[in-house]
Amino acid sequence: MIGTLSGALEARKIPTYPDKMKADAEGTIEAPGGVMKITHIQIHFQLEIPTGKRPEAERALKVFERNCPVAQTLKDSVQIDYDWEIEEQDA
Amino acid sequence: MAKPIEISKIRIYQDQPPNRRAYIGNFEEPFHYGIHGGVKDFYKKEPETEYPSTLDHIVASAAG
Repeated sequence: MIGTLSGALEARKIPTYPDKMKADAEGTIEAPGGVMKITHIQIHFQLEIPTGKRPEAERALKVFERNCPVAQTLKDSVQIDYDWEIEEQDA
Repeated sequence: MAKPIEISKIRIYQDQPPNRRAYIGNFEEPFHYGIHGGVKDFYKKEPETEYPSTLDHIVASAAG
């Protein structure tokens, strides 16, 4: 998902490279019916953006999932949740 | 609620778009994600370095 989010931010003139964007993800693996499966993926995005760009960044974070190929592939079988922290820095 | 069998922990860095780098658990070597082939054509991008897409990795995981 970070790739699609990067594209959404870049389209809003928010650079995502170098060292401006990373994510930590945890996938929960359970065996509710005796067979292992991924039941939940939690992602925490960490963004460094130019000062004053927070509204555009938050807008991208709220809409990018609909354009993410992987999220759209998995959405009916795995619960995916995400949150974020944003640090504004002067260019 | 039952205790999970495993929590898969991964850190992902955005490299020069569209490339990303994922570190899985305690393994030292990352996986690289990017675009190539039809996915590259779809996005109309020409990356300096081509890597398999995350969709390729889903397919590889399913087959693996």
